[in-house]
Amino acid sequence: MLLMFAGIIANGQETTLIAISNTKGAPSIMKMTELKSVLKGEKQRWNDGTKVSIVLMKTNTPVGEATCQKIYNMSGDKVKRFWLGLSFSGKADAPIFCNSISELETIVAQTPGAIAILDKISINTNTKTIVVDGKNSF
Amino acid sequence: MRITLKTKIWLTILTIVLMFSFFSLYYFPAQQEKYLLDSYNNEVQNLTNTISLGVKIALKDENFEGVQTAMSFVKDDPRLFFVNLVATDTIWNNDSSRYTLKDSVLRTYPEDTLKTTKSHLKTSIIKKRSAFTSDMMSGAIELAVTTENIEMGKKKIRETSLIVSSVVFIIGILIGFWLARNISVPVLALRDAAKKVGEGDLTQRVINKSGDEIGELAIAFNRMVEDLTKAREELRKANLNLESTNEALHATVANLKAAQEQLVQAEKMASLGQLTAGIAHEINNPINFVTANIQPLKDDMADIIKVIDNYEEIIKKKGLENEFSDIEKNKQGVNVELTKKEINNLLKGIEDGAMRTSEIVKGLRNFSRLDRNVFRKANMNECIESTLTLLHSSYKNRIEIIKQYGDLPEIDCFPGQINQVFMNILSNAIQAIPAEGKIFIQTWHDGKNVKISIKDTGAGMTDEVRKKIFDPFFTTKDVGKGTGLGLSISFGIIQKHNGEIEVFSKPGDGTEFVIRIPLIQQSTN
Repeated sequence: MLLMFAGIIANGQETTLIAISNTKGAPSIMKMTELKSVLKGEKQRWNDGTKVSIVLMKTNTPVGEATCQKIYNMSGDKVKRFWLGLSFSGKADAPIFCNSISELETIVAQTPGAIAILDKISINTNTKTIVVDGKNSF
Repeated sequence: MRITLKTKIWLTILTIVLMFSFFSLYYFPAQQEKYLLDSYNNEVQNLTNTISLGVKIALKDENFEGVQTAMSFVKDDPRLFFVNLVATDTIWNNDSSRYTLKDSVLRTYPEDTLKTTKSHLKTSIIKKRSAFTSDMMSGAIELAVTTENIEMGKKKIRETSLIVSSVVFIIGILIGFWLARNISVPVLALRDAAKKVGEGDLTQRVINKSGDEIGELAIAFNRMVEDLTKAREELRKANLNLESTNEALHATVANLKAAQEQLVQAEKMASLGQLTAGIAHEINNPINFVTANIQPLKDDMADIIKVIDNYEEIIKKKGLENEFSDIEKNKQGVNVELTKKEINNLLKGIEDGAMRTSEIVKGLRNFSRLDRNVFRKANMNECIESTLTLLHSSYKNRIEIIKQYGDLPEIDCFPGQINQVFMNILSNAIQAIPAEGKIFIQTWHDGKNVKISIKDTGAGMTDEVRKKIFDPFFTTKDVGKGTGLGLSISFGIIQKHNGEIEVFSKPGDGTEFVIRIPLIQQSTN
């Protein structure tokens, strides 16, 4: 059990993540703390006034697991619970959990103010990669 | 305690109605409310389970909008009080030896509803809980709905029950009236009729046109009363026959008694008549000597006195007084002139007495004429006179007899019996006048009948008395002074003569008897 848990953690820590966003809303450069703050729902609107929409891969996907570890520092269930509480308390809108990268890219491309975490650079022209702490990936 | 049939009917109806009212007002509503509540509980529970399942699926799918959607499933339901998404967390103590479960409400709808679960426990609220477990969390959906619908349903049930009970009650009352009218009333009518029949009123009939047992009873009752009526009528007729027979017997006995009395009276009268006739005959002969000799005696006495007067005249003319001195001496002791007058007076008195005696004897003979069984000719005026002669002492100096005799022919009659009639009527008239008064006697004839009216100025009589005066043994006189047979016998005598006797009288206005007797009798007895 501990081995499996360690494996998962190791697997999560190995995955390289990239933050992308819709061309409208999110800035192109952000700090990690700023990114974590946005992804934890602490920021509702971008500086241009566009509403923040968080799009994540489902927690049972490798990218999702990695996101939970690196961004939220929680297990997948905890992240869901976190968002459940947050969203039902009305403090923030819950993220949109996607089954595939393409779905995630499509949603981000179609939603102004959307921000997402994936494991590779998106080729969709309506998305942009956010540089975090001066890096394209983290 | 006596319970009437009507009371029993009403008690039965009331018992049924009250039992039905109990079931319809209490038992059935309670059952229906319980069923309604169970159904409602099931429905709410199912709804809670559905929401819980939806939430579980959405959580599994990490679809938070789906969770919202599932919870919004009951959003528009008017019964909704709140719906909670409850997270159940396990809280361990410090040494991890014990834990407690803590519920925390993650989401509630409507949002203004208190998020505590226990505060919603009201009697008008039904709260259901459906637990779920997902990878993300363990929790439950709590659904609370108002029971207003149930209350309204209960109210409707009660109202419906009340209406049904009222309708049943009214129907029960109507049935009660109907039963009372169709059972109790006819039975009571039958009872009353039977009671009246028992009291003797056989005109009682019971009208009941129903074809049931009561109707048959009424028919049987009517038939019984009719039979009773017939039997009573036959009995009444038999009784009437007996009564008439009895009356006839009484009348016969009375007639026999009257006839016997009349026979006795007639026999007495006949004996008295024979005796009177005998006495009159015996007296008649000596009195005839007196009356026949009185006139010669008077003539002789006149001759003797004439001779004596001649003797005295010759003595005076020839001076022979000395030769008849002895006679002169006797003359000085006797008042000759007075004696001569006295002799005349005595002879006159003897003549008057003899004449009066002769009249009485004649009256007695006339009155006591012995009737044989054949009609004889007689003059009614003479009959009346004879009767008055016999009654003279009872009315003289007190009652004035005013006679108005008509010129009557002799008629066919039994003179002795006719005299008896006049004697009875005149005696009654004299007795009816206590002091002084008058009796009017009038006779006349119309060629066929002789009529005699005898009217007194006495006390008169009432109609009631007048109607009975010809009844045998009826009398207004004191006991021992009258037999009550006089007028009854007189009535029979006049009837025997084919005549009639009428009486007119008013109290204080005297009494008048009018007798009619045919001049000629068709047959002689």
